[in-house]
Amino acid sequence: MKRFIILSFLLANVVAAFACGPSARPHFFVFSVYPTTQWQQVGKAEMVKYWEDYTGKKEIEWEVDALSDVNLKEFNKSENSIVQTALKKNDTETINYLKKLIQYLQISDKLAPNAWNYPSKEDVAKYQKELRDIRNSARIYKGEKYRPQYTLLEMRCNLALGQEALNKKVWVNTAYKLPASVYRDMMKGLYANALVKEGKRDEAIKIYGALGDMSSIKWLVRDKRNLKGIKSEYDANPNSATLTFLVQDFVNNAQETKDNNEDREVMQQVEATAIYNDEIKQFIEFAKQVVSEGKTQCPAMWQAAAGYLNSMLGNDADALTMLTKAMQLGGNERMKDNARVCRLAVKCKHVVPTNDYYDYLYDELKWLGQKAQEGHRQGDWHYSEMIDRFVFDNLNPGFMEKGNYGLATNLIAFAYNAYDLFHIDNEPFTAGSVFWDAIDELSADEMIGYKKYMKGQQSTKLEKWLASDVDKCITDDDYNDMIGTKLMREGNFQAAIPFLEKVPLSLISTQGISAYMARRDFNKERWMGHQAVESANEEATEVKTNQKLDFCREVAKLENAPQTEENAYRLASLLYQASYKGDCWYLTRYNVSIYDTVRYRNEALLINQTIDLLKKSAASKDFRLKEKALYALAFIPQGEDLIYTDYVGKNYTPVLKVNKKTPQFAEMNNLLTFYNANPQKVSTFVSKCDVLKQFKTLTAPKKKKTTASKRRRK
Amino acid sequence: MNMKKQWLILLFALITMASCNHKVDKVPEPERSVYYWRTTLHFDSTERQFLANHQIKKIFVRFFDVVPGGKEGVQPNATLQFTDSIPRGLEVVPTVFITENCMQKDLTQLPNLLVKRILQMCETNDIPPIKEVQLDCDWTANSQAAYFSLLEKTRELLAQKGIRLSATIRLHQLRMTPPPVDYGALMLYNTGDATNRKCKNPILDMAAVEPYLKHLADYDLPLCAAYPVFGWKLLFEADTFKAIAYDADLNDKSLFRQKSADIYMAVSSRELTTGPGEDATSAHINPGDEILVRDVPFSLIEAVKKKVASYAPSINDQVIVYDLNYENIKRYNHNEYEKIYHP
Repeated sequence: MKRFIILSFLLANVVAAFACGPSARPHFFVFSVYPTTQWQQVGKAEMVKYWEDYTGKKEIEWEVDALSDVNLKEFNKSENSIVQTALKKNDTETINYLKKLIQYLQISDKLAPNAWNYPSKEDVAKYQKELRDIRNSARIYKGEKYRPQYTLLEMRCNLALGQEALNKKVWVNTAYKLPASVYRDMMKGLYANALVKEGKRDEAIKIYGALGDMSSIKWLVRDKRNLKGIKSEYDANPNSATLTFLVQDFVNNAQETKDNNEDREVMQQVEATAIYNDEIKQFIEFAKQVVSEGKTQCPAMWQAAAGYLNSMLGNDADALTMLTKAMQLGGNERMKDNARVCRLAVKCKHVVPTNDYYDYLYDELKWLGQKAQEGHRQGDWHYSEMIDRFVFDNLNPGFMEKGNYGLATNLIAFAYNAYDLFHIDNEPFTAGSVFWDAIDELSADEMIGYKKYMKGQQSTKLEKWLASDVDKCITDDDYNDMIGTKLMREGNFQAAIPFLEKVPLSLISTQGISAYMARRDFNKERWMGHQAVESANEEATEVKTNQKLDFCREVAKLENAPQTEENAYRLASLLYQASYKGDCWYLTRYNVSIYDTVRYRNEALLINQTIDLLKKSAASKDFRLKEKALYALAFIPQGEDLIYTDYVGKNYTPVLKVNKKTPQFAEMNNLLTFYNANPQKVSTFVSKCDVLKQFKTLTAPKKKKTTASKRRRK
Repeated sequence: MNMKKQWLILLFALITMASCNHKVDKVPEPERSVYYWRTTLHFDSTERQFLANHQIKKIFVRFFDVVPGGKEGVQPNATLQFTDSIPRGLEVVPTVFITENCMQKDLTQLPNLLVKRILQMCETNDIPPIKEVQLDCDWTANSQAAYFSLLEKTRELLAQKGIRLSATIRLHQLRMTPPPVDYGALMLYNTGDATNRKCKNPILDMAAVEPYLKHLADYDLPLCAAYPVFGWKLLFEADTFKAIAYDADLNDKSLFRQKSADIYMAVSSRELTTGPGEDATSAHINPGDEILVRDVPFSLIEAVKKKVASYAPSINDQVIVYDLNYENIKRYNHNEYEKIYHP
């Protein structure tokens, strides 16, 4: 049986930011005809990994970068762990390679165009000779261990010597025959660079595409990123490798424009090219033309682009027809998958609770989940992002609106699993997860309904499939605890009792809130003192009693008792402690922050109830009860701060001021009046109250300055 | 005192007065000049022809910029790549643009670094021996002290090698003490606010120039004049300036519709390069955005030239045009360029 872990108070401060309002959703691009990994830096991670394996040390990226700082004259004294390891192993082959690599890196630095030390002709000649020597060493290397590295070094030297053309030969004669590795990829990149210099841009782009070097492609086609550019590329070569990038770029920019509601300011902020309807229409016509001409080898990409853009114009029925057709057209697997994802995107826009729709979603989400898993293995998060987009932007709100919050909620668990973010046994019911938050957001009634749904009300294979994943991680105890807590949160203390009675202490003791439950007492009045819990004690703690249950019983008893001023005060004290401002906030929620407020649907306004009850007890003729009630009312913050610091004058001198606009002003004033009327009789918590003293001083009438008479003697 | 003695005293006084007056009225060795302000040195045939046709003898070549950063606090940036030779008979004046925010850094080493690097660049790239270096900085009262100190030390180092130092002078700097250099190049451009679409002549405006000219008569530094021959395509969204659109093809009917002689409206969206060379960034042009074409009519250059000369008669002895490139060459005809260069 799995347990969810409730975050501690400190961690909750972070989580509770959720309560402040949803943050802006990311605009994941739907149209994707090449893996997203192609935007990542080629090879760096693998190179670092090589040296990590060699040294047996972790996180040595900085030492790889610092190789160029190694003093070759004092190589044996270097503190760089890569060098040290090679020396320690007496690994001559590695030592020799490192020396050549370091020498090359240092020459590259010296030849950097923006160094203060501009090289002299002699320097240039010297460095060029050294580069040629390094190149020769690379060429005559006879070993196997560093064969790819030396070949790469040879090509890098060619580049530094301005002899890019030689890299073409090296690639054709040697490099491409080497086993696949990150070094060979980098060599292929240098080969592509040589092709660019030769004017063979398209060929180079194809290689950059295969290497996943989209940055190079983006640079090479920077002037073509528009419909005119796409048309000219197509006219020159209908199967140009650049078109894959350009078409996706166009569609993504159009989506970004729509996602930002065509807000020009936002589009500038996100540095995207805005694409508006006229241009979208022109593109659709052009894409149709491309498909009909039959010159392209990837009509699936063009057709999908036209279909998805059509949906952006609101023509969803046409879009679906086009996208369904796109899936059958020619192109690589990614392009056909892309058409399928685009079709799903359009279908998700219109949630309809029909069996056909449920069945369709079942097939597509299951497929998308598998694609996401495959993507993870290659570091491509596109399909996970699609699940995220479809669930959060369309399906969850759509099914919530249709009243199927069971399915809506389980879709969030599915989206969570699609990322597999925390890898806690694929456990979506973990505090802080989006799924846990979604459950926490449900009202008590919805939670009861959700439990029923989970216990067998799923009617379609989609619902059964999604529920099966979730069911194994939420126990009956979890349901009872959450339903009981939600009922308390909604002020239904009596109704919460039967649920809470079934919650074992062992469950509470695993929750983060147990640290507070074990150390705080809801019977104490909050206004009489704060019950601090040291941060060192915030670990889950074994509790002796379930305070939630005790609290409900106590409140229920008072609610059923005569409505006396004494009982009103007692109830007020309890309710305040259970509110988000009370010390015992854990009675009604699982996390809280200092910025917290009423944040749940149906949440009872416990602080308002407290104030109403206190006002009732403040009317008491019992001096001590009245005194406590007035003190409590003056204590409870309401709205803006009662006393605040204002900065006045040229020097911004801090000055304390009283805020007369806040309701707390009247309450503090009542307490002050009470105090002034009974200075000798009041309790010390009133007479020694700092805030009251401060309030008294700040509200005391100011003495007028007396000025000397300016009357002249007659 | 006899008459002979009186004459001797008068003569001595005259000699003393003359030797105390450091003011040199004229720019030394004035020549027809041009600025070269790109990141790669390469002359196409039109540019070479232009230099020859107008007997241009001096070329102020931007060698690099100096910006904050690096171990020394300031570092070179956008260093010129030499891919071509300098046309024969042309004197190169290495020019370095220093951003004003460098003045907040420790510049103790900068004069040495500058001189060493400039000379090394010349030597490495076979630039004939240089006679002059020019520094360019938009200094203000806040940065004046640091900049002048830099100029003094740099001038001293260059003087040891027989090289003089000149500096650009912006109009607003005419109100302040002249910098400690051998002469100044008065920049008669960038006089208006290009980001304000109401500013019709942001490159050169007589009304903006005139208020400063009264300082010329007493300006204690020989000056030459630098005139603009460039144009701007300013990208605006309504009244908001977005960028200078260097590569906007205003003849591209799929992107622009001409609204008036100098206004083009975008009809579709596009990404545009906002600077020359490989360091250029880009801006996004959206339908409805407008390109405002701003350049300087020849008649205005001529009028400003005359007006400036009325305050500083020898200022046009050396005219530098900013800057050398194909488009600018085509902006005015041969005769107009001749008039611009004629003192």
